[in-house]
Amino acid sequence: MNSKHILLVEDNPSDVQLTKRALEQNQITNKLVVAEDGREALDYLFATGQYAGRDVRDLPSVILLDLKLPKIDGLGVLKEIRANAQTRLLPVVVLTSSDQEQDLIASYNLGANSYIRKPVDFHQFTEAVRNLGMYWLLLNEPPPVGK
Amino acid sequence: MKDDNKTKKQLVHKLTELPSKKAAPKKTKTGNISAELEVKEALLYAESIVETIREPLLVMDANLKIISANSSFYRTFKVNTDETIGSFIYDLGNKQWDIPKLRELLENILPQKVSFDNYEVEHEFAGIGRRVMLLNARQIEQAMGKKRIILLAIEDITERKEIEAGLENTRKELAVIKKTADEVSEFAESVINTVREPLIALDQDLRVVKVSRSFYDFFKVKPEDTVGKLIYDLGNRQWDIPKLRELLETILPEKATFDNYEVEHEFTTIGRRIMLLNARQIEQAMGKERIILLAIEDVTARKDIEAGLKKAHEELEAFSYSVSHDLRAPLRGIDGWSLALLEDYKDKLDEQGRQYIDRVRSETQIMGRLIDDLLMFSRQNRTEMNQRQLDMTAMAQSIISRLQQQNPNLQADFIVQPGLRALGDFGLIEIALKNLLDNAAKFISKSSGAIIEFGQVEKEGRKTFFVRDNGVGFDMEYAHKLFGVFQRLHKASEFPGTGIGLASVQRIISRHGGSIWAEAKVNEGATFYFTLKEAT
Repeated sequence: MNSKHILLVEDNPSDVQLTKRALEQNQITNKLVVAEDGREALDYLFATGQYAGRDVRDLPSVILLDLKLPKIDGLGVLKEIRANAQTRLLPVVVLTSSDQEQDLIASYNLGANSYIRKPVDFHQFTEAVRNLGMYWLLLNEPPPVGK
Repeated sequence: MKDDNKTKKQLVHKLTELPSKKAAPKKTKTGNISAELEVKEALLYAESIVETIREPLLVMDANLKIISANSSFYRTFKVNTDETIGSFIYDLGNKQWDIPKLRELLENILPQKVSFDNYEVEHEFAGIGRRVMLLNARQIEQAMGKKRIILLAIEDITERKEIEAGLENTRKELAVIKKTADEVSEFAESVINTVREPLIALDQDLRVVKVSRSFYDFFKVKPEDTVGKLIYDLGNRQWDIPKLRELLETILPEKATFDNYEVEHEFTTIGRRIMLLNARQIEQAMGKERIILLAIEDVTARKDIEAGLKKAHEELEAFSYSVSHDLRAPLRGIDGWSLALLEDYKDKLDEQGRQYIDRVRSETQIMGRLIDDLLMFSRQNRTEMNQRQLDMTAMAQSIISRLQQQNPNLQADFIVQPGLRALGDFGLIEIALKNLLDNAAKFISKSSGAIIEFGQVEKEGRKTFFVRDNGVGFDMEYAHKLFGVFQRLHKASEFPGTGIGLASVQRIISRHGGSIWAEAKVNEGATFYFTLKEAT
């Protein structure tokens, strides 16, 4: 049922492409679903709007969540995910440019599993993506679906 | 609270020492109250005034020994009763009060003039830093059982001086004291007229009994329209303020004393005002059953400035948030795509082409560091300061050992003077000292044996820290550029850096009320001096 895919919530097309590239370079071939704003991310997770009819039980293994997003921002998305029984255990990794203390505190307060600041250096970024993929897709046992 | 009570007790003690024969009976309309009771009543009244006023007040005898001080004095100058009462004024707080201008006031001006207002004294106190004070002084013949006493009311105008010079104009000079036969009354009267903040006394029916000169000046009312009137009726019923009614009719009868009660009101004559009220209820004074004393502080200007600052602060916060998010994203793109170009089109690029891409990427890294440094710099200016005693020697040693760990090839001898202490925010001072030591280590001369020294010297009577190196130094002609943001005195190819470090140091030192400067010579090293508050 679970297809071990990644949901990337990111509005910057360059960042989306670079993340894809970093995943490919690390031979992480799992399906990557991209949501370009917070609304779209929630629609995907709850099978509403443009994703109406999608199997809601098919949840991503990990969500890579940017904070600064159109419509609903990253913290709003995180809040919704944690408030809903279906999604509240989903691993969420905040992946953002910000190293502002208030973002860190707010993210962890809302139940983020991890917080990673995107480095400017693409080598470092690739390394970060590799570690993320290794950990969340291979090492980590995801929570049972629908529990 | 404990201190307050102690002070109060001492004050009462001092006041009641007054021999009753010296207290001339006060003339009252009824005339059936005994002289003794009347004196006590007046004393209590005087004492309550002393305690109610918000500004520090000292009472001295003819020999300039402290007879009494109010709790505001203890609070403001961080001294306790024991070290104050009975002390010679110049000896207070480890002789810190031995201020030439104060000597002049007390020894030359006052004996000739009896009273003196708005005498400005600026002084650097070790415990509480630089203070600008306005002193009002009164010399009263015969009071409190002493031949001659001197009243000294101190207003701390440091903050006001710094942020708003104009506010002072709204307060006018106080009037000369009305001489009365009753010396205790004169004492009370003197206190009322010495304090700079508006003061009003009401009877149990909330009718005005007595008003300070500053009250008339500030609220632009006349004595004939004020005394005997119901407070709510003052100035064409402008004083009928719901929050004031609540204080006078609900809170005060229950609590008898109340401080810092905030009231905001739009007066037709003087406009919108935010006031802080201190209130005291006294049984029996001035021949009345009950007296309510109200001291009013106008905090409108301060509140407005605070609101403006808060807004500016929020804007800055939003700005740096945006910088942090939005400026870094394209950089990541530039770096990522130039790397993609290098990786995917390796065969199509010659050696020079590949070098150009390396250049693009290293510039991107520099830009990234600049953004990070700039953000850190602005954050340092905004973090709240938590001042405490610092072991500067230990701090320097720990910074140096980290520096040596990070740069195993660093060829330099470090000398740290033992026992150095200061007062400051640990995190911020550590950043400043680290920047100075990093800087010294960065600019060591490549030829001679490098020595980097941290210690303290006396400069113009002030204990001054220094970080000295015998490295490449710099031309003093450019010293003025040293502490500017993004200013560099050396070529980036020789000594890398963003030019934020010393700007950070200067901001941190100046936030602590200290100063920083440098002395250097090309190829003969540089010395950075800075001052901080001394540890107590």
